[in-house]
Amino acid sequence: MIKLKLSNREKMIAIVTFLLLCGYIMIFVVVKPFQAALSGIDESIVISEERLEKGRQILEKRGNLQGALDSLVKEWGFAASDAAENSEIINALEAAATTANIRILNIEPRPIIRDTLARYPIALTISGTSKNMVQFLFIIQAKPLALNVENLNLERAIDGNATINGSLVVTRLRIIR
Amino acid sequence: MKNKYHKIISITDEHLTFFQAKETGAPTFRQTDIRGLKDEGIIKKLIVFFKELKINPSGMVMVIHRQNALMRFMTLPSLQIQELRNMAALQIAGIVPYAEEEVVFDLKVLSVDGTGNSKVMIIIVPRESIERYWKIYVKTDAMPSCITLSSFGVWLWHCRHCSERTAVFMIIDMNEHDGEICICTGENLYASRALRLPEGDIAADNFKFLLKEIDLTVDGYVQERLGPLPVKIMLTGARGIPEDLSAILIKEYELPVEAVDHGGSKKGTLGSATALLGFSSADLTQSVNLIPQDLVQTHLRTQAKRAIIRMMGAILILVLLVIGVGALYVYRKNKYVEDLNAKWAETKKQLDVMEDYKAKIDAMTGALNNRVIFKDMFAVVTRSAGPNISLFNINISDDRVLSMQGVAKNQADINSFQEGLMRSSFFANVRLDFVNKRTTQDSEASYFKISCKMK
Repeated sequence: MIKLKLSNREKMIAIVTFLLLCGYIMIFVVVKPFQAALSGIDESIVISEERLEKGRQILEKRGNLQGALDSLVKEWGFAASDAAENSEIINALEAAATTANIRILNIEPRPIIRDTLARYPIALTISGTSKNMVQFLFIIQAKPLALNVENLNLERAIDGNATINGSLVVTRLRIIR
Repeated sequence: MKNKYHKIISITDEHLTFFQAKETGAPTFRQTDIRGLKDEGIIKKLIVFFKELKINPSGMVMVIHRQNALMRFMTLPSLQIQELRNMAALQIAGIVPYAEEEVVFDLKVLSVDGTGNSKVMIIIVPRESIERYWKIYVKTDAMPSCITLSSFGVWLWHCRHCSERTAVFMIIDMNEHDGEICICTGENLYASRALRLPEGDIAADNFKFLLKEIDLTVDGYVQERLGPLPVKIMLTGARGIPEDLSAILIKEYELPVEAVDHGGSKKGTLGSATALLGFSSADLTQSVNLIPQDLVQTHLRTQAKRAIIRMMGAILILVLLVIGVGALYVYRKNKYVEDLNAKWAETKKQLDVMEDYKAKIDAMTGALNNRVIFKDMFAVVTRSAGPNISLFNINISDDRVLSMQGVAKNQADINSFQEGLMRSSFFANVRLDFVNKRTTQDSEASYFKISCKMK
């Protein structure tokens, strides 16, 4: 084994170099990564705080939104079950047809569509004069029924009279709470 | 210059003695019995001793008794002290029954002659004995400044006590169980001899033993031609000096005798009181130092290593502390982040509910706003068509495209109808899909189809 004999000055230089090296390693292996980790945490704190503050601000308006929804639910909310809903619409349609002097040839509830809203589509085949047809449409679109007419086909009958045959799909919208 | 009062410790087979004189007030003196104790026990005693006395054990003068050392005289051809040491080292094996490496020695120059020769006194102690004392002492984490011989303490006491510098004195120092005979002047110690005294009073029978020891000491002194014969005898000690001893000595040697008793109330327990008093404020360079340099170097190296280890340990603890504090800081930050995330998760739930509300409201209001109000639409269509256009088919598809088929008398009516639709705010992309002209016997009619997108 080679044994180094160092003078005091050499020992001092070796110690200082060793300490500097230790310091350098400490800075690059411990201090800097630690600082980076800390700044990462600080950044994430700032982001979280900002996000939370924004959320809090949005939540402050919750009352307004709730009120708007409540008023919509009051007007457009469910009355009862799906069957009751369909039944109610059909009754209303029949009443409107009677009022407008329109003959309903066929009425057929279609599958209910549920996404953000609940849609109750009903396919109708009707017959009547153009004037009555317009009146019928007016009645079913006016409140309280306020149905959407999504698909409409009106065709003059070939019987030579002023009769119009129509097929349409009406939909009632409901808000799901 | 203010006197320096040395801290002096003496370890014998029987006692551990500490002594330190003070500028004012009573000196500090403490003695403890170590009979039957092994070295580990002595070390423990010593540590307790220093703690009780509240003294720093560093830099003490350790006194070993005369009986542990050999004294030899040589005339060497040099005046340089280091050279004299080297010469003595070469000859030491020849004058003692030990190998050179088995002893520790120091020397003191007694006189020089005109030819460049020095008469030196060499104090030789078995290395084993010195190492034992050294080990006992350094285990207390301190290093003695000097290990010296009690004879020099007796001589130094004499130097302080007696104003006559050149007169040769014989000092008979008697302690509890031992003592020594020193022959010295105020300038030098020339010879000394250990005494093994009987316990209790020195009976008349024992005076013969003492006289024989005195004779042997004087013979050796004369034989070595160290100086003139003593002119006075001093009896010192702490065990109490027999009254008739002075008379016997005067009668035997025809010399004046002076007795100095250090014992006082502590008679019989003081150990080598004269030596301790002598070293208390003396210039130690006049004495010998029996600490081997290799032991000092080893000790200093060990101390340096310990200091480095302690420093490294302290740095390590500091680093661990810093890391610990840092980790705690990071932990707290992470905990705060976790708290924020937990709060956010709770808020997010509420926000999701709000989002759902908003989506429902938007969907509902959108659906309501996008409804085609047929009453208005038909009014626009009827107004735009005018009396000359008859529609026989109206179709609204799922994608809100309105297509109308009808018949007109002429093209101008169709154009007018189309323009009317285009002007309306209800429709966009009004397009004439086709026009078919049909001619009958008495009239002409144009069949057409118009499509448009409902806004």
